[in-house]
Amino acid sequence: MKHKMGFGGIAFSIGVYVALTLALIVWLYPLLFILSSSMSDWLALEQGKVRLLPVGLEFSSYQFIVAQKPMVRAFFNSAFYSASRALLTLALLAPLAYALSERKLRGRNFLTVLLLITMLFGAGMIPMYMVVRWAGLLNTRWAIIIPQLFSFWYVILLRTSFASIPYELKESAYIDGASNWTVFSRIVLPLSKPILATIGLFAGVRAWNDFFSPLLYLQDKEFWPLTIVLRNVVMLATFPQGEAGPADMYQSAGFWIQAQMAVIVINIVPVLIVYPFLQRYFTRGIMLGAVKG
Amino acid sequence: MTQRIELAKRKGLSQFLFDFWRDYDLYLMLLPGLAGFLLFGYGPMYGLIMAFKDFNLVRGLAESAWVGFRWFDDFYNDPYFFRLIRNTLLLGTFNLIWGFPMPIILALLLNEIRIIWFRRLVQSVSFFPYFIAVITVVSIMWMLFRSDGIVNRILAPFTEEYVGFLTDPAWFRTMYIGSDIWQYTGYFATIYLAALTAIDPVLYEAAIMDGANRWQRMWNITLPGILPTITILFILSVGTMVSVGFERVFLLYSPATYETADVLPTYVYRRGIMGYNFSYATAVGLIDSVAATAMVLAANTILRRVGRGSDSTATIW
Repeated sequence: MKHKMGFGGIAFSIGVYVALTLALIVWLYPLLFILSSSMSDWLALEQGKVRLLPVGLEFSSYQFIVAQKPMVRAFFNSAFYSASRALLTLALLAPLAYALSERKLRGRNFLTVLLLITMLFGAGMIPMYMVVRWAGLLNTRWAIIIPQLFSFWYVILLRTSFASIPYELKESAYIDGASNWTVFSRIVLPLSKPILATIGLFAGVRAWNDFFSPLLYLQDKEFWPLTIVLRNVVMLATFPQGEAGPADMYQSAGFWIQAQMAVIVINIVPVLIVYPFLQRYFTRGIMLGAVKG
Repeated sequence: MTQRIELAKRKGLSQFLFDFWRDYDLYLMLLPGLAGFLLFGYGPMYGLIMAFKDFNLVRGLAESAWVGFRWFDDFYNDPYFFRLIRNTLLLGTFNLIWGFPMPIILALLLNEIRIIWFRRLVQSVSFFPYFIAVITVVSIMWMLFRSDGIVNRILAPFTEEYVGFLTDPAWFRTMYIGSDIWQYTGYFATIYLAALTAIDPVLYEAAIMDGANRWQRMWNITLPGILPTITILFILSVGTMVSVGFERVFLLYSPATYETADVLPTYVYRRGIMGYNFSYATAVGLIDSVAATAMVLAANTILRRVGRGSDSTATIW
């Protein structure tokens, strides 16, 4: 649809582009600055010469971090928590959501309200801590995995998606005498791959980013995820194993800055890798569920 | 079909039992998830009675003595009572006032862009921070804003001494709200953009015929078109006015900034988890939870009354 743009229209367009370009810089610059700094020369970092692009090229902090056992262990802990939470979320919530999507389920409304209440009202930090403690999960890996699985938000998204599958697709299976479980596992699940991928990825990324649960429930350094280590490195300026590495590294403030930047980058990169999938599925998932309200 | 008609004849208890027997596998499917919700959703609600007891770890919850509203009275007389309430309300309210319109503005601006790659670029870059950890965002801010950080180096020629972005109580709210906006604007804008695609293009064509300019079209078609989504997201975020995120405050604050930064959840953490005053901390947390839920329910009720009979508002229920 072509139509003439008057002076007002052109000014409007310019305004929009300028505003969005500025916004783009605000979002992009901090990320680029961290990345550049993580691979810049120590001296340049110390003197604050890194503004946008790397000054010199120096990867020693990455080498240093990869050689640190606690750091590598934290990375794999985080990966383990993410994978477990993604899989368990789907394994527990998908069948639940499917049952709730079936109109013939007796007590469906009651159960839905029962779960909705948990979303509207959270009892708070201390009672949750006590339940985790009572369940014997305190200071175990499970404390980071199990208590966070039960999000009604995911159930809503899954249920809406399951409910949108036309009954005709299931009808013939029912006529052949298939059980609900067979219909769910053979027909519904294969048709729901996009929403399952969305929920799985979301749960996984949330686990990767979780700082609250390990802060509350873990004392043992062996179980620490990367988020806790990141906080120690950046805010408390302590590496999990301070003694290792050549002494001259610690003499240089630049090295510390570089290492801090590098840990931030290492925390972001896995998310960046799955981001294209997250973005694509999320837009689809929204179309399916959230906006319908 | 005949089978269904036959089923419809059964009544009362026998019908109920028959349905239950017929769909027993559905109940088995929901059982594990339901058990989790009961344990980790309702378990803590039962634990709330701690707030009315003198809870003792050794004695256990059941054996601890009832003390009525003692902890609530104590909190009312707490020297930090006023500061905590003020900080929580101000931080939550300012965050909503500044943060809520941002994604709407971003979505409206993106909707005006005709160059597809630029639009995709801005959308992808702004959405990304939603997926990185709060601790990562705060770490990035830390590197940018600390006393010898890049921002202070750039400002150095214009200021007498460095600006205490992270150590000055006067800066805390700005830092908190700024990082919150940076992280979540793109996410909510994506939701609004998805809602925008549902607007009928015929409306725009008609408006152009009538000589409406782009500003008028944005104001009279696009904005009303996403109003239901705006309403729902507003109701959902009203709760954050009284119950601010623990993580971001915890990571951004320090004893130097408690004056403006200490809020109810962080106080609960320090008194409860660090100080072992479990009952007291539960009582303080309960006030926060009840207030947050009440705000959401109130917002929903008010908007439902206001929007009655109109298509352009929506509520949660």
